[in-house]
Amino acid sequence: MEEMSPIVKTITKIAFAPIFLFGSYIILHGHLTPGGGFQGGAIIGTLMALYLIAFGAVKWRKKLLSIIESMGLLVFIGTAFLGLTSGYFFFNFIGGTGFPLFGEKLQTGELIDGVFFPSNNAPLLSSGTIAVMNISVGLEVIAGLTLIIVAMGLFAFTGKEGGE
Amino acid sequence: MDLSAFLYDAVHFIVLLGIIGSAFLVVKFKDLVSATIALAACSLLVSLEFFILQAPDVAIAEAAVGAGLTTAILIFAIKGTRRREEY
Amino acid sequence: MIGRGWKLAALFLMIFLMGFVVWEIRDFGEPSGKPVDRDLDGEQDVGEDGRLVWDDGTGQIDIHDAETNTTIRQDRTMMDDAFLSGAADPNGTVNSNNVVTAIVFDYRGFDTLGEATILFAAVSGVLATIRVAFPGNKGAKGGED
Repeated sequence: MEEMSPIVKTITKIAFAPIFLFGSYIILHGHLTPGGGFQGGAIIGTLMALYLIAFGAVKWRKKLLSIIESMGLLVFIGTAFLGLTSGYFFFNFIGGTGFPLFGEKLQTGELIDGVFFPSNNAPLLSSGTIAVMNISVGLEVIAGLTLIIVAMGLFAFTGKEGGE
Repeated sequence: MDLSAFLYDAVHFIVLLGIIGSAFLVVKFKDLVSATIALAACSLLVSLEFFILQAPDVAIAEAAVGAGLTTAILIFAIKGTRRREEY
Repeated sequence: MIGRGWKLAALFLMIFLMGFVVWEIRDFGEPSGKPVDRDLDGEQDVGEDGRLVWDDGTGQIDIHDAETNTTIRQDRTMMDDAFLSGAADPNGTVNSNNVVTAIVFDYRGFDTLGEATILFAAVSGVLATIRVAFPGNKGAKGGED
């Protein structure tokens, strides 16, 4: 697959970092704001499609992408199974326990004139296994969509698999 | 009826009309690349409609997958075959 | 190639794990353990009919109707109590500020597991199809790699 013009390549180089940052933000803040692993992974997959169209067939490390995809799914299932140590499948065994990673408690709200207002001020490292599952699903979606794009794109243009 | 509610309804109506119009164009075009671009526009408007209906999660997923990845994959498939539709 | 015995062993292990997981699943709508204290008086809030209380003592929920700009009061079910008190409560189990994410990744985790599995199967299918359709042309000419 041939490269595109220098205009497209320069714009892609400029826009790569902001789009990557936005996708990472969507994944990492999945337990606080709308979005999550699948949405952020789809955004970064779109970025990889842009990169493939602009720069053509560079060496894509398909082995590494396959390993990342499998590891994402395995970490997801493993986190779900680790909930069995506290009683149930998919049990949130880190949330609110004070564990340093993703274990902080939410802030309590306050009583104003006898009515309780819950606090909307949540720390980033809260919500336990939900954040871990978000990150693992995000990695899996990034790797999977990039693999599909690379396989279909390079096959359509050169008639063979690209990369390693 | 106050102005903000009227504007809300007007934007909603325009988005729905745009969805129907772009979906009609997808079927109408004989140039498959044009049809793909019309499909991307339809998907983007559907994403906007999801956001109006207060489902931001689905809106982000629809915008990324529908307007980005589907367009890329369809254009790859068209590049591998013929561009004009024959009938 | 993997032998047939190993495949059978993996299948039985998977069946056993899935059966164990489904057997151990918690009852729907049951609050999951820790006490809920919404009015900060140090003890668990229970309504007159024994249901958990979230904000006021009535056990009801306010639903805002945007079209007519009115508020409807409706009885909360046990499921609402479990979701709201479990997700957004600092003393609850889930501790997530985003109730949608709490439902998607915790209460309805099986859905997300199935979605991830479907994505994995789709990627495997695409790669296998392209590999089967064009076997052994990794070194073939036609475009740089």
